[in-house]
Amino acid sequence: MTNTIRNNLPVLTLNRIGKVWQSREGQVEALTDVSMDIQEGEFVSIVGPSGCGKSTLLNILAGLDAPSKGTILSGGTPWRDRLGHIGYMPQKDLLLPWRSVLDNAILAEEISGVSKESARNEALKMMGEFGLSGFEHNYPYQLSGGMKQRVALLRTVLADNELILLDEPFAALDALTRSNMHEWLLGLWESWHKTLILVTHDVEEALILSDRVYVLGGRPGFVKSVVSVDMSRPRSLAMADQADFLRLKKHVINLLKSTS
Amino acid sequence: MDMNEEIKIERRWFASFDFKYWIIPICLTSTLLVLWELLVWLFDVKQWLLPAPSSILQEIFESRQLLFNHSVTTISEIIIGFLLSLVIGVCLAGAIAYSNVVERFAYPFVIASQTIPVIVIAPLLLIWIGYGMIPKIIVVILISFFPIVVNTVDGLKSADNDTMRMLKTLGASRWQIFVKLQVPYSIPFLFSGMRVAITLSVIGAVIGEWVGSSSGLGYLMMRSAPQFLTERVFASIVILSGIGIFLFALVVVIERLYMPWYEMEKRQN
Repeated sequence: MTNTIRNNLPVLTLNRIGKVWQSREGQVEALTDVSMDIQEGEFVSIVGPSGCGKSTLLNILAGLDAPSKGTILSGGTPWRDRLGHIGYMPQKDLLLPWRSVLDNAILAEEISGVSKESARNEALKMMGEFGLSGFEHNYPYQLSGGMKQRVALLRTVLADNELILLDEPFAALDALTRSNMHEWLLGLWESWHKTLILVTHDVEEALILSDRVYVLGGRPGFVKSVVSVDMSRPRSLAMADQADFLRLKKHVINLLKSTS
Repeated sequence: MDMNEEIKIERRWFASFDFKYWIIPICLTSTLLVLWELLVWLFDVKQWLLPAPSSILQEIFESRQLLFNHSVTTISEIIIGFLLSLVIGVCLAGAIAYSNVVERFAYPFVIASQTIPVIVIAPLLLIWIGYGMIPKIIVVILISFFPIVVNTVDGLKSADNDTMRMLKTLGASRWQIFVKLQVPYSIPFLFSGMRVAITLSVIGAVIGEWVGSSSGLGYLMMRSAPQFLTERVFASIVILSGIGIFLFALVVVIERLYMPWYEMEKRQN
């Protein structure tokens, strides 16, 4: 791990998080005893089979849902008012169809009371980096799937939070676009030094991007194992063909398959 | 990375005007008119019983000044009434959607107002307010605000839950979610309410005029029928339905100009 990890307390600590949903048929346990430590500037992925509570976990982290058990800390102290202070990019782009690319991107700043004028100016500077130059004034219906995802990510980034959660942001894209997005995201993150948590079911995606990978097991979701990806940065997609990488990938896939 | 991703081609809505689409209705209408003309001529139907399309057309031309004068009254009633019910309807819908308390208080009255036939209320308005335009405008409002309120409330309440949660993670307050998501989301619903309301406004104005008035197309019909000026009654009907169709089309055009994204999103899904 080469990124700036300072020797202080983790920026995010999950302490034995559990979630139980109340339904008419009774209680459904979605998560049990999930503990994690995320350091500042780290890129961490969470992989697991579908239905293992990955999205539930992100919703709890973002502050949208409350955990049934456990606590969430930042720098060692409890962190309760997370809603609005953690960047969260959901699976669907959720762009507002009546707003242009530019006006979708500045939503967070607009909400926090920044004038539209200065928010737009700031966002315009980012358009190139996000591959949206020339499309600032287009509407979502005029964009391809990959572009919509990039607008959604720009919207999340412009909210300017230290910690950003990504919920399978590339799942709906075709393979080629997806690997382009991986390369692009790697470049972005390496220049930002923000803390990123990526939820995915794509093992290769998790390994190529992350410093560490949390492997979850299902029903109810729990942490099976934590895998460190000791590969140098900056990374490139070509690393996916290296023997070390393939060994690691096989290891994670075996972890996912095992039933304990 | 590769930026040459495929960009969906933008097509303007009016480019989709399809002449083939209009052939059938045009043929059907003209066939019916020709048939009508022939039957009247063939069976020598009296003018006062059923005038032929040609004599209705002739009447429209000859009495154009009279028809125009009465149209002005009726159109004014329709437009003033419709715009007022738009303002009232939107405000009421906003309050109902935003506050549960208002919803519980106001919605029963909104629904009750529709269970009383306007035809019953109109004579009362005549007693209370008298002749003139105001009671007609009130009838128009009473009949046309309902679809606006119901549709707009539906629109405000059916905003996507995922998007709402996304806005919360951006730090949005309840009011900000209302203004930035629910209100724009409800606009297409508001427009479909307006399309119904504008046609009801035409009916409202005529009902108002029937009950008691001294001008307007409804008044002209009421006056012409006992005199067996049947072609004039038909002429009034033609003008009235022309007004209705024109105003309806106007709402549709405004709708498409105001939110071009809506048509495109609909076509994509």
